[in-house]
Amino acid sequence: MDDQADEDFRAFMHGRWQAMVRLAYALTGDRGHAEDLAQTAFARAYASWRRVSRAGNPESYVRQIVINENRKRFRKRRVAEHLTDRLPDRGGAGGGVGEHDDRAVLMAVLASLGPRQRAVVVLRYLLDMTEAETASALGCSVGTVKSQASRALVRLRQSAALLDGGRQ
Amino acid sequence: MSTDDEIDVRQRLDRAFGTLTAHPAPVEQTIKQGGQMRSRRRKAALAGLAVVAAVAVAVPFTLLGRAPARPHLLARQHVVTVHPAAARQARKEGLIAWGSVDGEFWQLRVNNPDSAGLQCVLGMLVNAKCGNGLKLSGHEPAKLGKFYQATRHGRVTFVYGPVSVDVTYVKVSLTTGTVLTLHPVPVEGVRQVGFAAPRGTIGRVTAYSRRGVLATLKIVVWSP
Repeated sequence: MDDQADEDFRAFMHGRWQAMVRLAYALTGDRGHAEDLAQTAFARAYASWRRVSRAGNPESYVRQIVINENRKRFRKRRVAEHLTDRLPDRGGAGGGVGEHDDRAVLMAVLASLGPRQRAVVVLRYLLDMTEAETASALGCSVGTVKSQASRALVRLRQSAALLDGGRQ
Repeated sequence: MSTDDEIDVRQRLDRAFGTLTAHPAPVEQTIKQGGQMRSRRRKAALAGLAVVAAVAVAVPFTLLGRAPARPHLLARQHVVTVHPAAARQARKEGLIAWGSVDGEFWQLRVNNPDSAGLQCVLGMLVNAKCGNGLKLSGHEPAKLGKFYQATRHGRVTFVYGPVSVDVTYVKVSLTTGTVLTLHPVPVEGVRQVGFAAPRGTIGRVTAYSRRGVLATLKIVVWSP
């Protein structure tokens, strides 16, 4: 690849790295996995950078890879999730104490959802995607997105930790 | 499920993940990894080609002609790229265009939701109200539209402007020899183009319709 395209990619990755790690973290619940996932997604985008940049929305391309790779992770390992009472990721993150508590509570609640429900919540409410966009990204129907979102919100509402003040 | 629940979840997710800080981007390692992926793909493609070539051996003439000599690449002082925003980003985020100037990521977007002005992003710097509406000097044919200069971020100048419906694309010639191609993006009902370039390198802007050249504008950038 020529220098110009490399420079373009470098600038893009510097600009969108944090956002992709956040998305991957919300999906996986593990910072190490999240950074690996984001790096893989950027590497795959680099491998096809000419085509990706011509398409005009490299961010969407990388985001889709993160979502797909996360789905594959579950498919390969069948049930790779370990539901736990321990709040994950206790140290080192950015943000204040309140934000960290909120994140830990949220991660615990998200971990209690199934992979698809969690993905629906993250795409619909963290990335603010429409139901149609979420369905397209997850390869399912709009009806499935609606029902999964509805069930996930019921679960989240039932969670006293989240809705009765996770920071108490 | 209620709208209140949805709003509550949105706010909590934003608050919880918005402040998460990752390690620095492993750019060089990623480029190496991506390069390896690409070379694996190429090897696979070459293997396929070898099979085709083996089949073509029986054909008296070679299938591939002599490749033309590659043009000599001139050394450029600056590396500038521009990409139009995707339709969704233009619609939802007011993004006009993005790209890089000498390795720094830039974006031009109309501030949402109040349309109070233009937002220029250069690397980690965000200038929320950079659209000073300063009209660029030079002849302005009505068919082309008007171009404005946004506040400069140090050595980079941002230029943006609405173009008429006839314009299918716009070419910007920089004094370094680079030619940028801009594709109009509808942002808040107006077809707009925008780009960023190193200070003092913007030369001529030419608008094209489907039939050919519509108008040419020689830009004179204001400098304090």
